[in-house]
Amino acid sequence: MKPLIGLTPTPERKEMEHGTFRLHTLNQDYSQAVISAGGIPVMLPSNNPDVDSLLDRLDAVIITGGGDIDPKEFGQAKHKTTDEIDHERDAFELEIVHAAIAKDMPLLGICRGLQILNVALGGTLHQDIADLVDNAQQHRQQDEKIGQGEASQTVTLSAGDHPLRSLLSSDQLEINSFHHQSIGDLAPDLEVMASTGDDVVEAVYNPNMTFGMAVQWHPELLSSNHAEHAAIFGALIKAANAYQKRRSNREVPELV
Amino acid sequence: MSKPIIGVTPSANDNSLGVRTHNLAVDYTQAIERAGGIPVILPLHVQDTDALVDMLDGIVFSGGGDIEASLFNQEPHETVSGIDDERDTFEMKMMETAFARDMPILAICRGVQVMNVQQGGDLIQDIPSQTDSKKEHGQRNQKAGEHDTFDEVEIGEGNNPVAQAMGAGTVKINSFHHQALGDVAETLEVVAKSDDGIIEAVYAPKQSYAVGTQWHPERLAAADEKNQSLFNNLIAAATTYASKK
Repeated sequence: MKPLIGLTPTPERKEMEHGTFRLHTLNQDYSQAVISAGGIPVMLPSNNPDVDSLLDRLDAVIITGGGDIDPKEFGQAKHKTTDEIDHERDAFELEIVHAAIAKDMPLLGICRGLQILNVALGGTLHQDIADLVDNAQQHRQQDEKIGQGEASQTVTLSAGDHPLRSLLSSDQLEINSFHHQSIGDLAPDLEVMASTGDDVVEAVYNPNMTFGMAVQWHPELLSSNHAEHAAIFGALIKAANAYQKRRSNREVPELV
Repeated sequence: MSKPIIGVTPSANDNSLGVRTHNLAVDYTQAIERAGGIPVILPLHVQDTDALVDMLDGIVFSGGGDIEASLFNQEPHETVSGIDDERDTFEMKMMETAFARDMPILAICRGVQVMNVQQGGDLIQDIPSQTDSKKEHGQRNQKAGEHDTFDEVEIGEGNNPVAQAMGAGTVKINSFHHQALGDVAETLEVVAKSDDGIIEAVYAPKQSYAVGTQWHPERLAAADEKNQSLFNNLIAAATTYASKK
């Protein structure tokens, strides 16, 4: 059975033909990357407080990109550039991280998803790279009119073995970049897998999980043309298949 | 017993960067969540619909743009808008599979139109120009709010799931459509009409729970127990379906 992969959408208020509604929205590059890797994607509305029952039906989760996290979640006052805070989404995604860790369910964080993983495990964020990181590079390629499907930066892998190294044949990877916040204090349970030359953390993983990793870039926008980014989704689906097998072994009732 | 998982079909459109984006109003997923179901939103480009249906215990077909007229053997009327071939194809396959497996269905606005077309019926493509009705079926044209009631329908007596949820007789509804059911598929039975004769609700008597409404119960359900009951009864049917899978 193909694994079922849950993706967190972005909530937004939007004026539609029939009125103004709060919507859950998700760019289809995410679900396409899951389909191409052999999974079945579904979007997870953030109005569901029963995260435990939800995750019982899934084989993996992807926490996607979006607006900024409320800095109260990591004990800071709001920076003037911090924007698009959505408390329902914050609470939903933070709980997903804890529930996925408790179940050892495969988890992939993308952009905001990496930041959620770090905050959920006790880390903090730089609320504005340009203001708070010395000699920072440009991490917002949209400000340079560089297209979404193009790479604009190079990350260097950390020394030693880690899940990202096992997917790549080189120490460096060309990435895209669309963020103004980044990891500040790294959560105690996470390890850095890649960073840019200005020491901005670009990829992390949780060694306590069978598969729990996150990237600051958007591999779903590159995966159709770049095998090394598609490999990230391939690894998630492989882990989701293994998780599904472990899960179904648990659920087989004992014969009496 | 675990909660049933309910798929909801979204709309899709291009965002400001020209990227196709799936979207769904939270009213749908909130009504499902209140009823005790687990809502998930179904991306329209999943090709393996059999595998997707395997994962679900019930499905809600949501509102949206018009259906391609060639699917019911008509030329498109000049007012037709919002055609999405990928959505048409996905929802027609999901409807067919849900009927074949007797999976519980709630089909809303465009959804009831998909149900009728997939089951072999057709549509009135534009109520104002193709019927004698003088009645407004688009409440936004009259500045009524998106979560307000606007019209009334008459629900038929008898043992049908709409009367079971809402009671027979006159009920207040909302209205956001310019198309409506024309010839009704043989598998469906009409259970509610507006006083101008426009079909407002149907169900499939041979299915365990397959209900379609031309109005949007999810926009009224937070404040109105009758409309919420359509979702509560979907979840009850999905729970039964899940226990038999």
